[in-house]
Amino acid sequence: MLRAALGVAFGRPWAIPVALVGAAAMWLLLAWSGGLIQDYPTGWEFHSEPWRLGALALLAGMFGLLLPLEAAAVAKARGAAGVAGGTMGTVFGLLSMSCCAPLVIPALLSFVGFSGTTILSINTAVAPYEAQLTIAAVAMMALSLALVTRTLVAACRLS
Amino acid sequence: MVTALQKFGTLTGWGKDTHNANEFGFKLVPTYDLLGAKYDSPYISFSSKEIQDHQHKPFQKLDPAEQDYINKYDPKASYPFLIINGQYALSGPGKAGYSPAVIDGQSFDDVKQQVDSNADTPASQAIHKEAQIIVNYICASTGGAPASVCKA
Repeated sequence: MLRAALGVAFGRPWAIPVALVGAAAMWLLLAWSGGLIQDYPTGWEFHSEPWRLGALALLAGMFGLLLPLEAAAVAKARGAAGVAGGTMGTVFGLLSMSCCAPLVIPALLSFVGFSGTTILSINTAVAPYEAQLTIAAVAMMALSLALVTRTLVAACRLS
Repeated sequence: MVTALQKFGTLTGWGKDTHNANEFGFKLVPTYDLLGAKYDSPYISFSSKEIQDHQHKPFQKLDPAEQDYINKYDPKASYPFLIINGQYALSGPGKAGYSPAVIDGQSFDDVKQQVDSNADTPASQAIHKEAQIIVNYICASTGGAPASVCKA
């Protein structure tokens, strides 16, 4: 089913550039918000443990796949019964983004006006569960891909 | 920070520590353990808080005044966070500091010896450069006292 959906989504000429740009943007967002990229007086540096690097690459790659699938699903399923599945796919995709690196949550909270001490408390509370959160993020991204794939295949059957 | 503080007073009771091995890809980064430290100075006072332990669990709590500083000067809760006399704030690892890569894999004693002897090494230069920035802020907050440090 996934192969069929990818065939439809990546049959469009812009799908591969969108996937690559989306994956790169997601990788940068996660790396920056996770504190892996730092601006020192001597210049920018990137440091990470291998497992975190692998998790970021996996999530960014999955997000790159998700974008063309989402676009194709929305285009195909517009007004059809499968839209709910596509919406849920988007929701899980967004959740997996914010879940992946605990520091993404403080970055988002800061953006919407939470205080520094609240962010510090949340950051401290979630830090011991980083591995579990990362696994949950990958699982949610996988669920997102599955939901969008199902939506796209169902919409193709209807049309 | 310790190098800067020692120009204004005497820091005793400190210990040797390291960051967690392999965290963020660094092998072992030496650092001071200031939990039992005492600072005496005729010019300034000093206090520090560690908000997480080595297992990343909540450790020391911030008092209301410290929370106010965080809310005012560190809205993204970056760390390390340094506030001097309620006037000058440094937050995040990169603003005035140096990359942990500069001292990664070296022993505490080796780095301290380089700093104490003002050796011409990347570690010593980076630490003294950061210390001078902190010294400048402290001098601004003490009105230039002591002259032996602030006019040096």
